[in-house]
Amino acid sequence: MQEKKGKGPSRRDIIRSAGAAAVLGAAAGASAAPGGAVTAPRPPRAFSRQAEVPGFGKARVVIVGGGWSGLEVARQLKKLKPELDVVLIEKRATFFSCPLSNLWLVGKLPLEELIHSYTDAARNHDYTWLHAAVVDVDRERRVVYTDEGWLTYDFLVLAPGIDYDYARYGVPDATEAARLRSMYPAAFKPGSEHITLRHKLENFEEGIFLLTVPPGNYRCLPAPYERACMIAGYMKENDIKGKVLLLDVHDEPPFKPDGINEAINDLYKDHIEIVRGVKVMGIDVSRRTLHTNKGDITFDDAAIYPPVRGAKILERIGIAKTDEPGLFAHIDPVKYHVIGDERVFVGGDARPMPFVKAGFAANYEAGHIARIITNQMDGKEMGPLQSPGMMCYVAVNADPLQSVAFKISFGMVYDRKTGGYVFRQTAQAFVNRSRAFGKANLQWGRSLFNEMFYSAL
Amino acid sequence: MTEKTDRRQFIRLCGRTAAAMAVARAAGHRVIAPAFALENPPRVRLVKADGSPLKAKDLPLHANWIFHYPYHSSPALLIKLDDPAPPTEVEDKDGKAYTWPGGVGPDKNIVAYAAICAHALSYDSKETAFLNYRRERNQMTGHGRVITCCAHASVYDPAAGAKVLAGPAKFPLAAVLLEHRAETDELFAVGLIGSELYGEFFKAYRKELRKAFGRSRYKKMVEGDVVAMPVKEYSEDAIKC
Repeated sequence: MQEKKGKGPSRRDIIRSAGAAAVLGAAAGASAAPGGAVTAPRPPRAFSRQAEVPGFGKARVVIVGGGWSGLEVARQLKKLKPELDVVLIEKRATFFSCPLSNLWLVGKLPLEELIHSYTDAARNHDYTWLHAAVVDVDRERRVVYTDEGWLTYDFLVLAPGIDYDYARYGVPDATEAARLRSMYPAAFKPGSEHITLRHKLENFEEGIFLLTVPPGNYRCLPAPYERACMIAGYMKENDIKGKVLLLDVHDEPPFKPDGINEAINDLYKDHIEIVRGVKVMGIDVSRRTLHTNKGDITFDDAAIYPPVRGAKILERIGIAKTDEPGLFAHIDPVKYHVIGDERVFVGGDARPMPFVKAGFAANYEAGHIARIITNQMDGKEMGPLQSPGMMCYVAVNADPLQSVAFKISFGMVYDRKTGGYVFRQTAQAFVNRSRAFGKANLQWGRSLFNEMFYSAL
Repeated sequence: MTEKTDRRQFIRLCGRTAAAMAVARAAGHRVIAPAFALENPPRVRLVKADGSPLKAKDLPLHANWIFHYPYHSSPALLIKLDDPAPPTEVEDKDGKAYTWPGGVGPDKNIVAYAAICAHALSYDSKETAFLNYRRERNQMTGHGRVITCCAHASVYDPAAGAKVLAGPAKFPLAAVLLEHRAETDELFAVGLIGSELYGEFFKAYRKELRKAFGRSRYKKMVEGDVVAMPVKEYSEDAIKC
């Protein structure tokens, strides 16, 4: 596959795309502008110049999103085919891990364990990091537009993760959702939200700290429970007169919760209250009140985790499953390519398959996607994904660090009855919390950070 | 030892490695030379904590012991299995086949492997032993008589060249070649074959290895006598999974 070197989109294409962006921009501007006077914004200048990335004249794979999926796709591609020109586009300046972050929130893990350098990842694995935000994709001409210019691709992997869907929490208004997001951020899209949540905890004097467990396949199923334990432990340790109110939409958590329940009963009886079967139907930000099926619930501070959806970029470039509320990517669940486009793939939490939305799953799946792409280059078929059983740990006590463990495998298996592939996930829980599992919990993350950013293993 | 794997280290088998491999050949097995064998491996005698030689008969059945080889900081598991472990053909990280020469000792059941996980380099330290051998059926993995790394649940078969049985690892642990001297019943570590991971291991853990084993000593090769002891005595936490 030879790249059309130096040949970008034609002038006409640029004008066309820019026109589309202008329309979007105008719509956004109209709702946000104070005072109401709106003129259509000028098309972004970035569209007219080429991004500054090295061109090797070999096939280029562009990856959008430097999370647990995108980073691993990039690394694995270079391992499988070192001659590939791999460009990872990530808009954040620094990687900030969501896995392990609950320990950092309560001051039990240094920040340097969670943040890592995209420059390190790129130089240690020999790919290019383009520090830019993607604004559009022209799949017909295989061009990605970013705020740093455009670049062409032979294959494109989108790993943009999730966005929040406040509408399903009864907050359909975009400005109200934006306010909610800044006042009570969920802290499941890492970075500033997490830092804000940490500051909230540090400044918390007394009262109710509210957390929610949303419906659907939300990011990291045990995380809200882990977070409740961490915050309760922090309150206990610092003699704070407060408690965590965990509003869970489920009657039973969507995983085997025994070890976590046991920890809550043993350690946090006075600091965690769980109310199950709570459906959030609306949120009054000013009054710090949730409207629910069980009545109004007020709080002193909160991290409100709403349902998740596929990152908005999927919708913007026309590859979201618009017939489903999650708006996840419309891809072949076995081959991972966008329906009707075998050069564009989607991995990580933006996938529509009901795998756990968790770092280790995205990381393992990424290796599979990289092999699908290199196999396709070599004209070879690739079987369906079947992960081995892998560990995942949930911290239930921060000091001393104690965790419980889960072993999870996931994949797609052939179903004789239907002649198609069906999703299969198995999980096994190991409920005895221990210091040893606590150590394994840390090592679980550290060793994967090492792989993604440093090791040439 | 350079940071990156140096092709020149993938050399022809040196005397000691060849000798250890020849045992398998003598027993009538087809022997495939490994693509990687440690260059000029040290030959060290395994001793107990009190300095006396560790004899094969002193090593308890199902031992889950640790010693350091080939570097001061690189841990290896020493295991006495139920049954003789015959030479086995396994594949390295590049998919190249090699023969693991089998167990040593009077019952051909003593084996040793690097205690550095071939998946993501978790290793056995004084604080925590992530890799352990257990005879009993393992609650998480469902396997018995295996080496398990609890960081992500990779499972290796110590009776078959540390072949991967389950979990995310894709290739076996590196094998430490042992020699048993029949006259004295002593055990020696004489070489290392399989997949080279030490460059990456040092890179990943340099800071903590320096602290635990010395600024420069951590990457020096061992010599003379090397102490072997039960993992549960060496590590604060030997993780069961």
